[in-house]
Amino acid sequence: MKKTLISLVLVLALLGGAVAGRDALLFKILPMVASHFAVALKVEAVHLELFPLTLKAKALEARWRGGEAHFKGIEARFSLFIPSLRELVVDEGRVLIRPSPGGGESGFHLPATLRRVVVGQLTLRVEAPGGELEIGRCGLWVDTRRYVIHGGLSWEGRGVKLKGRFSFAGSRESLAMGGLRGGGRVEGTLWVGKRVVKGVLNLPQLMVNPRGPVVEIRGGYLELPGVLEAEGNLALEDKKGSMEVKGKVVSLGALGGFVSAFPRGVDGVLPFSGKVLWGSRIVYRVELEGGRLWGLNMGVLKKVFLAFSGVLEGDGDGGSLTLDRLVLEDLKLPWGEDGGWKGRGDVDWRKGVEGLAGHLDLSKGEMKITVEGSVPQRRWGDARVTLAFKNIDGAWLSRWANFKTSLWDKGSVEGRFQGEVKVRGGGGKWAVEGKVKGEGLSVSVPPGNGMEGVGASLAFRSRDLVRGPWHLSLDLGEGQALYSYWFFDFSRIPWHFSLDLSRSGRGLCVEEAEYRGLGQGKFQGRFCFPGGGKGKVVFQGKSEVLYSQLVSEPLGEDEPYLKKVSLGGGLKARIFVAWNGALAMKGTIGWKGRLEAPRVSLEGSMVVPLVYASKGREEGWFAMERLTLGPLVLKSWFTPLKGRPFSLKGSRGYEASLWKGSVRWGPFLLYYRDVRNPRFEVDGLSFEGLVPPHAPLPMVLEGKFDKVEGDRKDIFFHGVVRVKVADGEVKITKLRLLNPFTDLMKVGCDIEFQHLNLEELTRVTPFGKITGYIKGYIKDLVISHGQPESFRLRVETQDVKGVKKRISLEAINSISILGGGGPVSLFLPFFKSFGYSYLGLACTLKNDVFTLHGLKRKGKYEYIVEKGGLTGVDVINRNPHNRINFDDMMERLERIRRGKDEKN
Amino acid sequence: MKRISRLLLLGLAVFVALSCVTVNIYFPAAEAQKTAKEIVNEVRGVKVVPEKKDQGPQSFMWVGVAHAGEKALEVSNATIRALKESIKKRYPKLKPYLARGVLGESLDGYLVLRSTDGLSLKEKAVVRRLMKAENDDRKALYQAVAQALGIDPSQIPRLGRIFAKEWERTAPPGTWVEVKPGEWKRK
Repeated sequence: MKKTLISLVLVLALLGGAVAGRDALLFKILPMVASHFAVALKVEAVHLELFPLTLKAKALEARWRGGEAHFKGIEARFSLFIPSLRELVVDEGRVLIRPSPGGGESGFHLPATLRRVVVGQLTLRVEAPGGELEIGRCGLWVDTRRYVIHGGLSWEGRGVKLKGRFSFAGSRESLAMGGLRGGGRVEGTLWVGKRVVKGVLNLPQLMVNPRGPVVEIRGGYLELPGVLEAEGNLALEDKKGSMEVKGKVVSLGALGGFVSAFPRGVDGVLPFSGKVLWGSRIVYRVELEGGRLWGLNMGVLKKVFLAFSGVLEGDGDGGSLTLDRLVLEDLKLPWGEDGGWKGRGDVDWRKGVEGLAGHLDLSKGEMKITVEGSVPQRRWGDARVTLAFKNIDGAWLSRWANFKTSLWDKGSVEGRFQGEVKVRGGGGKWAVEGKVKGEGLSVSVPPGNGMEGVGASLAFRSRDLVRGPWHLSLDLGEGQALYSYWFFDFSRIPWHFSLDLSRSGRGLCVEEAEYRGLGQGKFQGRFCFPGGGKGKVVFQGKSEVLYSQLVSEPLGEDEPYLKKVSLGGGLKARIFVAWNGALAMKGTIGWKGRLEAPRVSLEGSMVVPLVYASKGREEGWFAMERLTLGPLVLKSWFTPLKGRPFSLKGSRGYEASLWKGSVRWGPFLLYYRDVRNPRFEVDGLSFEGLVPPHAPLPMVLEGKFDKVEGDRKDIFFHGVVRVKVADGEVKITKLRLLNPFTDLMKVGCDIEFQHLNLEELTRVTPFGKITGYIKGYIKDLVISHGQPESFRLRVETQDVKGVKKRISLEAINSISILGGGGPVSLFLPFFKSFGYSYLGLACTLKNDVFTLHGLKRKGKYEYIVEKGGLTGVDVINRNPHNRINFDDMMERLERIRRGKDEKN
Repeated sequence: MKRISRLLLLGLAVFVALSCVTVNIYFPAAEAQKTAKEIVNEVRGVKVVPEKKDQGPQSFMWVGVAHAGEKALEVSNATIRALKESIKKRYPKLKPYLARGVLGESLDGYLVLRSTDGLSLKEKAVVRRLMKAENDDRKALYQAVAQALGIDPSQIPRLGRIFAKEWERTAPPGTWVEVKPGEWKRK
């Protein structure tokens, strides 16, 4: 009766609230009364927003079984004060439960005996520092014997996202005992970063203290089918809790948050045990077998991963799984033969480093890590980390670092490394200092480039490991390197580099660089990768070393003349270099010394101005002390050099006395827009009255070229050379050099001559004496390697008054031999010389084939020499279609020379 | 009459047009093969039987010239001789690398780097330099021979393929030779 009365009062009160409109009704639910009545109350579509601790209801349906009364469609909003639930306000369809102003005992307390009560569907959204928790479609179903709490659950925060359903069931007796006690189950999907974990959390013993928010779960375990298995205990005390979990992780997704700075993911068989602190912290221990951690991203070394197995312990907050404490022990690298970690260390990121010390003992080397000092979370503290290693295999290191760049793709590294790297925290950054020494290093970079047996020492330091600047120095003291045709032996000439690097918006930048080896160089400025930059380069070195290493040795096989050239003295360059998609240079290159080449020698000094793809001008000079060109010796020439964009001008010409005559040339200009084939011009080249001192015949040389111009392929001399010799004159025109800077250099010209005294000419040759005068020409003469390659020759006698025309028997023999016959002296033993009236022949050479013709034709015969009278002699070409091989001709000339020698 | 004249003019125009588009490329294949064989034999030191020389009779009071039997004429000139000399001089250095399979003779008449396994860096540098020098000389040789034979420059690759057979024929055992495009076998 009492129960019925109370129920009736409650229902009437609610009904009254609805009917009373805006006037609020206050219900005081007395536990003593409520415990004596059975009510059925159903709340549908009620949304409760608990932030903070304020609940709102949109719809409410209540059913009282005894009196058929029920509520439906009531808009309700109420604040729930958990301690006593003493105030329930219904205001025109709204139910308001006001919290008690005085606070008090927290918790939900219903000391009533309830039977089949379902408490609505609730949606809770809680914003917390670690994320946002939403509990939706949540309901409490209670009957006289048991209660069921069920609902949807989602949690999002710090890279972790959980979505699922939960349900807990307990007995009514446990509720009567003052708490919710029973078993629970959470089934859902957990996203950690991009990893998805699906599973079921079973909590066989769950206890919720109705007097306070203390939830204690004992013996719960998490089921992650095929993925994660765990069991443990979750307890909440004073808004904190813990969950001890023991289990085995077969595969676990990426760890988010701060951990991503080091291991971005864990993948492998990961048995673990640990403790989860509810809402804020997780303490865990993970054993890794053949797992892999990756994600170390240093900007340059991408896709770096470390694969290992071992034990990982840590604690962190549940929202982000931030790694607060790390223990590494007995880690094994995946390459079993390489060994594993020996030792153990602990890192507590909150408190600082507490002595992480590891020792990586590899079968091919060993590594030791020691940490001293403290490292507060997300700050660097004053920790000192030392990484010491020795005998580390280069091949293993390259695999570990996974070096793959456009330069190094498919490359390989061999050799052994040792060294020590020290990292020191302080002022919110890491300072780093280290030395690495490599021995017997071999680096192979396709196609066939690389280094072998190199001994290298690398030292580096930085005030801030992450942001820089960094200083690096590298010494290469042993071994060899090859790039294309360039080969360097570091044991002969050691190399040293030092670099000061910084980081900017454009990338990694070189601020200063030094080089010692083939010379000494220094760069100052800013050159970024990628992007480019600009700066000043100063370089100096010995010309001999630079020339032999960079020019004659690598290129001398292809161009043997380079090997015949030697360059002495010193070279010094000072150039401003800029790169912004294209190279631009401006500066000077100085040289002082001596250049030696076959038949050429130069002593002098110069400062060559260089303006390449750049604006402005540079000035320099060229001072020649002595130039020897075969027998020619020229002295003392100085000219200012003016550098303009893509050009160089020597403004002052040269004039000097030489061989009783003089030689002069004008200003010159060099264009190098096409650096592979620069063009040059000399404005005027002439020589007058030159009397070569060692010429076989007295002669005077005169030449005048209006212009000399050319490039790498051809040099043309626009003018005439005249040689006064043997009472006559030889005129040389169309003089040109083909392939002048190669071993295949050829000289081409046309020659005309007239009034040449044969007696004089034959006197200095083994041909045999002939008297008379000749005229003629040699057209299209090409001389290659000191031998004629082609020409068209025509020679004939020239009548000169008072000059007798006689030909010696020796000369007749020579002509006979040249024509392919033998000596004729046996047949003409009584005469030493013969008169002739005409001598004329034409000769051509092409493709190593000579043709020889007499110019006088009588009948079917060609006369090379026509007799002058009865006692004369005819030399007849009996085969007008003759073709004489070059080698045969050389052999015949040799026979002529030998004949002369034997006579002498 | 006019119609006949027009037809004749039209026929003439067609004839002229057809004459204009006729392209004749001269390629003396037999001579090129003979030249290639002679040159390669010489630079690779393959001995051939020399032809005998015939000294012709001389006449009294006349001096006859140029009737002697001449040596078989070769395609040569000073440039070709210089190139032959250069290639000949280099061959002893190249031969071991050919026999070891480091270098191969390609179908187009040039050397190709096959494998540098087992070579030191210094040897690699030597091989690269030798190969470049040899190929540059061969290229110049083909150009010079083509010029001497009056072969159009566009036909130089064809000349190279003719030379390729001779290079392969005279290569030492162990040399990689390209038998078909991309297909190699060791001699």
